[in-house]
Amino acid sequence: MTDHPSTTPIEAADFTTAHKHVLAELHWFTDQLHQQGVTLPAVSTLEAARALSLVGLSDKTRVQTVLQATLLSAPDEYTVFAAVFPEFWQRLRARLEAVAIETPTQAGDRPETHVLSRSDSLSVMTADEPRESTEQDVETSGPDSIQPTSTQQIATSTDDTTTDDAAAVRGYSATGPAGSVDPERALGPQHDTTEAAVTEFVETVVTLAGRRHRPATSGRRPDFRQALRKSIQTGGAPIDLPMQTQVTSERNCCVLIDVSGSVLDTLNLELLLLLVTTVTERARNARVFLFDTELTEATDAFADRHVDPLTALRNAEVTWGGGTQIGCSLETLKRTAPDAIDRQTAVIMVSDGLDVGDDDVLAESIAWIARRSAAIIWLNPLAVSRAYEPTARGMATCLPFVDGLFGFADAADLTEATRQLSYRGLHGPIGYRYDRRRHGGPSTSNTP
Amino acid sequence: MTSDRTASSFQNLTESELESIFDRMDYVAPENVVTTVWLSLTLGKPLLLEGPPGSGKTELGKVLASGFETELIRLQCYEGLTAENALYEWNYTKQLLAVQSNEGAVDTAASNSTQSVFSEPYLLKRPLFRAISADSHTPPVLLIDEIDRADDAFEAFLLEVLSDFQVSIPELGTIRATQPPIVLLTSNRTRALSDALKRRCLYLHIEPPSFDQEFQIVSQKVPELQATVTAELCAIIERLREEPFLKQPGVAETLDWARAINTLRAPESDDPLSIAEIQRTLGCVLKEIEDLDRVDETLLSELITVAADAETPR
Repeated sequence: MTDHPSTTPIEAADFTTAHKHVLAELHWFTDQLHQQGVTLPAVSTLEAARALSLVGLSDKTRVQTVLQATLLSAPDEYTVFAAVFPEFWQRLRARLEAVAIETPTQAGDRPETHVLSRSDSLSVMTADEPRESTEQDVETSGPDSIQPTSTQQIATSTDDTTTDDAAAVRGYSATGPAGSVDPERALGPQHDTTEAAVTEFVETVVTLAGRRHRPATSGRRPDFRQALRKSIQTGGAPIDLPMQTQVTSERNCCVLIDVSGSVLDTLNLELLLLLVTTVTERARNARVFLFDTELTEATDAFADRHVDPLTALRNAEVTWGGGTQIGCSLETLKRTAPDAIDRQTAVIMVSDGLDVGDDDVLAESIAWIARRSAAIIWLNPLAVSRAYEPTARGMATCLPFVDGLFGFADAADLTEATRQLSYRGLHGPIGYRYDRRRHGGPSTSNTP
Repeated sequence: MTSDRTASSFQNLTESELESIFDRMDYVAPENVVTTVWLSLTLGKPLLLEGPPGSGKTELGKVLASGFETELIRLQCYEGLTAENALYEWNYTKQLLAVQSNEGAVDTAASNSTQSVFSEPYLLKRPLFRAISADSHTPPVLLIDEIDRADDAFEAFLLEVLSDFQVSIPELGTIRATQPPIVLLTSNRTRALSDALKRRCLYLHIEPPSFDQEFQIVSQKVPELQATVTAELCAIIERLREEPFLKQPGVAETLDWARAINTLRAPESDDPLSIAEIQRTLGCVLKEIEDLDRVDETLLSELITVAADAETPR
């Protein structure tokens, strides 16, 4: 059986000792989660603090579990939590270490035996509501202020025979037992964000709820047609309001990549290949098409996992560069591979929308795709610019048929798109216009 | 663990005690599950469990009830479930017969000779009412299963009950729980729950178990299956979960499969799993025809390779 030392009163005391600092950091943490799109009720910080007062702060895993239980309410939020928690933990440890070192031990003021019970810590919590964290709170406890963790313990004795000066200066630690500093933790989250961002984006796209709806008592959208039909029975007066809900199922995916010079010059090729490879691996069925002035299918080239993607592209025998005729290419798709897109298919279009072809053909083709597919997600490398507006002829033609137009230059763009799609869905306010970075907000990138 | 544990005594429950209960009930719980359940009991807050079907959400409620030797009151939610189905109803037939035979009176202030038909003997207690009015020493476990299947209206009604743990019956008055039940809500995420309900609950998302955990679960639940075969089976399940199936196999499917394999095999046989054996019993694991079609010869041979490489955890 695993022993859980942090349930003892001694460990609960560390929370009480420095609870104001903990609350400040907790407030910062919940604020970060909120900014990243996690829905948090107003009392969640208090609930989290109460729970922390029960388990103490010495065990990272337990703190993480407790905060997940009290702050999160959907599996999607675990990803955001995992991205923010390491920094919170680092700040918290640094702050508590600072408290331990700053606590002066005056002459004759040895740390007293002070074993608080769990009820003590709870009563302190309920009596002292979480205060608003100040700018100073946050700024003075950045990653730079982290101190090497010592093996200080909460004092449990008033043994006057202790003559160790260092121990006398340190007083007691508010952090309880600790180990050596983890260099990775000190450096902040260091992991391959690109691959994670691409995977999350693809996972989100292939599980998007489509446009189809079915009747459901607990649906969120009124079924107007059904309501009208039913109202005929009651002389035109609608008695009930039938509701409908979105149909969710795993999606096929069709990736259309513009390989014209204007796109390839602005695009991170490695990221593009990673995206396509991930789509072919994760989607239930994936079709990949490359186009500039003509359309070529490259599904088979990407299907073999052992083939290098670049080799796959070479094998696709596509001549890169040159102008783009999106409408003509999509017309070819409609003619030669109409089964590539059905109502279960999410279409990912990678293009800058600079079209030199016939506008009418483009409008007709994109409308066909929009009618036939579950969603059109357009990744435009130009849309990463804050000044970008889709005024180019091709893009302006396609825009009414596109469900989401996102910038696409690096992993952070995909992370932002994932965030929007996850939390707002296809019918919510999504797209480059709602990218918080465009308005000077924080990046959703996990890159430190 | 004594059976006279009351709600207030959960304040003194330690994680180690809870873990020992799980051990005793052969429920393999990761550390985060133990901590979250312990928090839920200690703070007296309902626990909202989410996770794929077959991940052990309902089982957790059963284990808690058995572990604390208390009653498990289960409310299975479905579309159209109303407050009357969940709380209480008057037994109209019994009332009618009582009135006709002069054994009961409609008047609530009936004389001694006749009992009012609006009294407790004529009440049909439904799960929520039973959970609130339970007078056992240990609070019952109220398992509200698949809350996402219920309508928004019922969810709103549930909010009221979970907030105060009391119900008002016009003819009888307000009945308040002397000790709030241990409340577990499960959801398969077929629809989003309201923020108000989520705010009242602690949240736990149960992920599919790791290889070691699943091996432990199968070993405890199907002990008659040889350890080497159990390891092979868990390795195959782990590999199958990497495939983009419509319905991923949960722990329940793994246990079904283990029992099926054990039934079809000679007693105490530890022969490696064969392709034919897997094909014959794959219906225990995959429940969609499209998923079954995805298991072609290539994947089958890969499964056999994975099974051959599986090592029995210590």
